[in-house]
Amino acid sequence: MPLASQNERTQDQRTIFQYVQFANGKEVLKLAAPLVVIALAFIQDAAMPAVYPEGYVEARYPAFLMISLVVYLLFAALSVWFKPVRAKVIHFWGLLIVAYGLLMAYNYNTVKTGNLLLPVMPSPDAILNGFFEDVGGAASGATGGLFFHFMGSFSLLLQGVALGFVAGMIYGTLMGYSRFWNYWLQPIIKIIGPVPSTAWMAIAMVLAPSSHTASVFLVSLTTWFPLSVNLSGGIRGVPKAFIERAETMGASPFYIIRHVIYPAVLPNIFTGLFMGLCFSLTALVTAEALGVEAGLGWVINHAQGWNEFDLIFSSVIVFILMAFVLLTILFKVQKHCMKWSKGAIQW
Amino acid sequence: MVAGNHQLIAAHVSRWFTGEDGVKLLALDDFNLEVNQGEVVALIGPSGCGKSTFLRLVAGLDEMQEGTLTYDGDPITAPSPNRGFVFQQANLYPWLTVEKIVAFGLKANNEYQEKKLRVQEMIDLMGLSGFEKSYPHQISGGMAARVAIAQTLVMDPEVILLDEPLSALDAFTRAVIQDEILKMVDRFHPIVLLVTHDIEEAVYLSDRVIVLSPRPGTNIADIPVDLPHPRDRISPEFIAKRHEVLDALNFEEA
Amino acid sequence: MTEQRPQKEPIISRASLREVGRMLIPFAAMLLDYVVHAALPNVYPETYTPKYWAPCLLVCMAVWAVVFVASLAIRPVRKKACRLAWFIAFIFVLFEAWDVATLKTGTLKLPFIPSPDKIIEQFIANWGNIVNATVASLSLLAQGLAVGLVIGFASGVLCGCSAIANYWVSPLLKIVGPVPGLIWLPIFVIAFQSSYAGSLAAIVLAVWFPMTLILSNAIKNTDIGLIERAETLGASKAHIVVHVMIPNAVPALADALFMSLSGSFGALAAAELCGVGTGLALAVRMMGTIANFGVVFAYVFAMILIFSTLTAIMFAVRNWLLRWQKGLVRW
Repeated sequence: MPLASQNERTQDQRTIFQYVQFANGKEVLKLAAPLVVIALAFIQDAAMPAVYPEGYVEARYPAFLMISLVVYLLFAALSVWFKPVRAKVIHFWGLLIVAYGLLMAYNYNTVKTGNLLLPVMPSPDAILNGFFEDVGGAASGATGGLFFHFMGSFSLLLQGVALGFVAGMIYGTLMGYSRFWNYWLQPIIKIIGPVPSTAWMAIAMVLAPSSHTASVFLVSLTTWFPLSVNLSGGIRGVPKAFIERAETMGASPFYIIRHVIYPAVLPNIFTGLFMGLCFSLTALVTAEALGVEAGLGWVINHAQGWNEFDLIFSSVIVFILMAFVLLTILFKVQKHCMKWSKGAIQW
Repeated sequence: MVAGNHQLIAAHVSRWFTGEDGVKLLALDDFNLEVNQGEVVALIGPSGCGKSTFLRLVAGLDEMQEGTLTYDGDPITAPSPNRGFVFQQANLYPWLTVEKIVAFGLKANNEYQEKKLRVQEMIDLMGLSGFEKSYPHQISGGMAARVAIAQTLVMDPEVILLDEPLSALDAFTRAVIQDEILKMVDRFHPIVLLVTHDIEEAVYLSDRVIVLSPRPGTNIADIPVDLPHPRDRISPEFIAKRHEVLDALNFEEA
Repeated sequence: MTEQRPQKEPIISRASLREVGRMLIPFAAMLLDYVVHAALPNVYPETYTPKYWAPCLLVCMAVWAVVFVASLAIRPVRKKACRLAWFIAFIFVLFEAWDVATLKTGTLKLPFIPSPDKIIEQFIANWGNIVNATVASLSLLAQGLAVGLVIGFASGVLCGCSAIANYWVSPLLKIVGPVPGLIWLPIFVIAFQSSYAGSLAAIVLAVWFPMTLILSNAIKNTDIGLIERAETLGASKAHIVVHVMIPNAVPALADALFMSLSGSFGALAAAELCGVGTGLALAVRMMGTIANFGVVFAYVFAMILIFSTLTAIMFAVRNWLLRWQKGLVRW
């Protein structure tokens, strides 16, 4: 069989060279197009004078475009030879063209002509500068740039989500597995769960020893709710045959929970966590804006009060990155844990 | 055939289900059975006659309302790895690979380290070699049925309860697995209770065929099958036995 | 195997003694509340005379009496009443414990923890405001939900069916979707030049995101065998989408509905706080800042009532949609 022998040969020579394959003409065009657009954006920014507001000196936007250009050039160069990288980079070609095209148009209409008026529409350069501005934090007394506030938000979120995860796993397991606990726990979750965290804010702030504790509590509440609902529903939906099968092989109830029920409800756990994480972001922003007076939520609220729109845009971008990265990690973990399942939500 | 000391005795077993409206539905009525070690007993009867219900009682998955059910003199109250159950549907855990499914029972009983080799042996015996790392959604229905059988047999149970496990298999694989079951009986002398709709299978495998009446199920006939192994499915004696069972079931062969 | 046919249960049937006993438990709890409330002196704050808690208990007893009488004969009511009996009793005992801890002993201090009597008083005093705020909240929510569900369903189906649509929408979804409405609100208010439209957009976003993500995934994951079977029967692409892919995605749709609805509550609260300037969440916030916690609790109870009712309705709709499926996430 010629096919089999060929396969064996490639198996033997599993080196980096196996991935080397030159791009064809169409692929090279697709790789070059975003490069042209980024270069155009750079040239436009360099060629046109900044007219609005008068005397504005751009600081970071040219550098940003330069770095974009270099990074993309690097990837494109790798793509010409390496097939796996090429597939990834080419996937983004349309999106990159549109993204940098829009950026170019936005730059043109703000700092280069003033068609979109300040302070409402800050130029790309002003937004970039916002990342490095010193913002301050009223309640904590500490001051720092957006990174400082990002770290505050991030640690608050992680604490809340971790706490909510543990609470949700316990609550959901009890509610799903035991009739007795279901009787008492289910009405409570029906009453407390759907009410948005903002409503608890006013009460939590006075009952908790510190506004930080109150915020962690609110964030954990919003993770706990969807996780418990999804987990308990999932447990009650585990096919009885799965459990009986384990019983006939002499598995203990504890073993069944750990090795039959939890794996079977893994999709529900991940759905619950996904919902919980999304809701937690809302709770986080609310808690920060109204309670702890630090973190990205507070910065946005504060900047709105002072009409610092460049700062709003910068913080929103940081927040988007944080949410995006966290959810991407969650879905990657899900994909890794659920190779056996086909119907999972793909990010 | 070696008559050993293990013994399963069912005496006057009755089991009924109570509907939401309080109406009793009698599934098994005064059912009696005595099985000794090394015996293969087939339970045969029309749909809904309580054959599977009886098997679930022996497994310890259900409780009966009347009668006694003992294994070696001890009443059966809960499932035990000593009594292996092969379900009608394979229902394999979708999150485990074939290898891990087969090893599941051993791990649950902390016997995996000692009996590791038994897992591979069972996989080879059931013709699953090469699929150790496959997930259930990647294998065929016939293979899934074999995995389910391997999962139970790997525990070396003293009692094997088979609830139509071969109904999903093609005729050829079925014949192969039937011979595997006979080989295993020869080696380990377990008690085998086989629920089936297939008269040929019952006659081919068992030492006795118990015929049950339609619901509520109770014993109608106990037909000994005293043909020597290996049995020839088209010998006149074999066909005569099939007729005997059919007659007991009160069916006409179409 | 036993083949049991589902039998219609009679709606009218007599209660057993055990059931009657069980339904009496909440009466016992309410009576206990009444006696304890009447027996203990009011000590905190000294000048306060309770006027509402005792009548409220009497009203509750009357309501439960109606349920009790109805349950004696009507089976579905009885099942529900029996199931809830212990929990209702527990809730009333809890409230009396609260009453004792506040009004009767002063263990929990004002102004943060008002007594049940005080909350009812505030509820009645602010009745008009609560109704207005509720109407404002619900109308904003209804608009946001309607628009969000329609757009979300449409984009979900589109992204599920078309790879090109998915290519352009999915990055937008991933970037814009998970970020809460409160964050977008300032930008939306600028973009739409109106705080009302901006708030609406924030709610629409919260509904649109889970709907599109979950629905498009479910449609993409439709078993290829189901599609091929329809194709061999000569079904057109549109027919397959409507009659195979969408029905097949209904269980996921139910998940999406749950997340959309819960998400929309959060967005609504955020929108009220920072955008439109009306509604329940804003009222809670304002009363909280002026430390009028009697009103805060009154509003929170109103919110609990509204949001859990809405969620219960959503689950009822979903259970009806999924009556063919076993073992779903139950409410």
